[in-house]
Amino acid sequence: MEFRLSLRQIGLGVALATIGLFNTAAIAQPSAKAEGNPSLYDLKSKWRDINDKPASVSVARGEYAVVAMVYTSCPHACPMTINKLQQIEESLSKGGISNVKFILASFDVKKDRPEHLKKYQRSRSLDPKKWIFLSPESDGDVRELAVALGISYKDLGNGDFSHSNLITLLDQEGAVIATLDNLNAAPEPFLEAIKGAKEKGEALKKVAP
Amino acid sequence: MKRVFGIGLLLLLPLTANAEDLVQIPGGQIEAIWLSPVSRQNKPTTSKLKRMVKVKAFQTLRYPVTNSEFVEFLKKHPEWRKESAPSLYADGHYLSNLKTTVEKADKSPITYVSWYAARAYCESIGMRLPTVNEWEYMAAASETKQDANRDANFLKRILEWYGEPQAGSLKPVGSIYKNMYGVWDLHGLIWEWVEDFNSTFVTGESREDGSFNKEMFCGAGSMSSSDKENYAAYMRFAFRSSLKGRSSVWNLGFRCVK
Repeated sequence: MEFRLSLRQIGLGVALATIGLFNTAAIAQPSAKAEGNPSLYDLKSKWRDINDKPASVSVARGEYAVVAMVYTSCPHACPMTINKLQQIEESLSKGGISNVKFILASFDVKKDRPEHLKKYQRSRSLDPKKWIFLSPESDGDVRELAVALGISYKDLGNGDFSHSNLITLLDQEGAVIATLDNLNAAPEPFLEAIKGAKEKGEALKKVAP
Repeated sequence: MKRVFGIGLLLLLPLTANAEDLVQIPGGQIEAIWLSPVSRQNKPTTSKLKRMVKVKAFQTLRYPVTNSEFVEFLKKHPEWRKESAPSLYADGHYLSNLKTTVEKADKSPITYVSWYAARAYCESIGMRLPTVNEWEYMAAASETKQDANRDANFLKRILEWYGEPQAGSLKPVGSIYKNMYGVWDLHGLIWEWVEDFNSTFVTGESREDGSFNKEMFCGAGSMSSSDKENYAAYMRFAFRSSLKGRSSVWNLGFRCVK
């Protein structure tokens, strides 16, 4: 009897909690600073490149960047992610866009040290000028980048990580302009997003004196 | 010269929480009722299989962080003020109900605070945000039981709070209930940020059967949360998975641990 009663309350609880949240979002007014486009280049999380030098996603500043998170001991998703990024690279270069960086940031603080990532990069024959592997300094740094990108993940404690396979396109200032939320998605939206951003940029130039 | 150096040193030292503000939580294990018993291969195991989670001993702030404490933080770290925080760290609602002239006595919990800002606050006092496991572990305790996750009365109280329309200002910290460890208001006042809030997904599919869209997620079976018996825990997971790091919500605050 009591259980039935509580089930009814559960339904009510869900409804009211949801209403409560959405109401607030509609009422509150945006403040000044937070109106701008979030830039991933504002992140303070610390990473190292394959030569063990301090680095971050902002190495791509001034260029477009395609960002994904992987761990190289993952037998399936990591190779698939790199294949997808290569498809994106091909699609972009067919569309006449070549000044793009491909950033692969690792979830794995323990195994994906810079020297390991260097070997991995070589084994995949990826051009180090264009393909940037990032090794995290701490779990907190991984968490911060994942949160900023909107990637969910969990360290399973056995060397594996559950994670969503989100691929993000950043503009020259580090703002997200497109995402692919699974590894089967076609790469074309990224080409369109860059073309769109370029047209917008040129239109602005014409207007400016 | 010496004096300048001394002041510099003082500024570098993080403020630390007073001992009386801290509560020791003993290590232990708890049935992770909020995680469904699904193996990594996405094969459901028997529903009777218990998923135990081990939690190491830690210390927590007795109360959620208050408005006046957060205002003190902003004085020392102006980069986290509403007008200074980069939009990556704060959405348009960030600190939208915080008056800059908060009285020392304002013991309402700070809310409308992003995950990034909550983390920065904890770091400034030499602490950190709790993990999901740590938070759920300490919050499972009622006034009398260490693990009240299957205590119908305890769950009913939590769900009643979730269902209660809460308008206007939040009650001060320390006014709802104190659990057996001596920690106040883990339920009934606000929702609280955790470090790894983005470690679970609730998708349309997982609501039904705990499985995931395999194209979107890699080895994600263990991340689902679907125990219907503890609907309150499930709601917390659903809520967390709906958040972004920059989200600011009227009843979402935090406390720090170490």
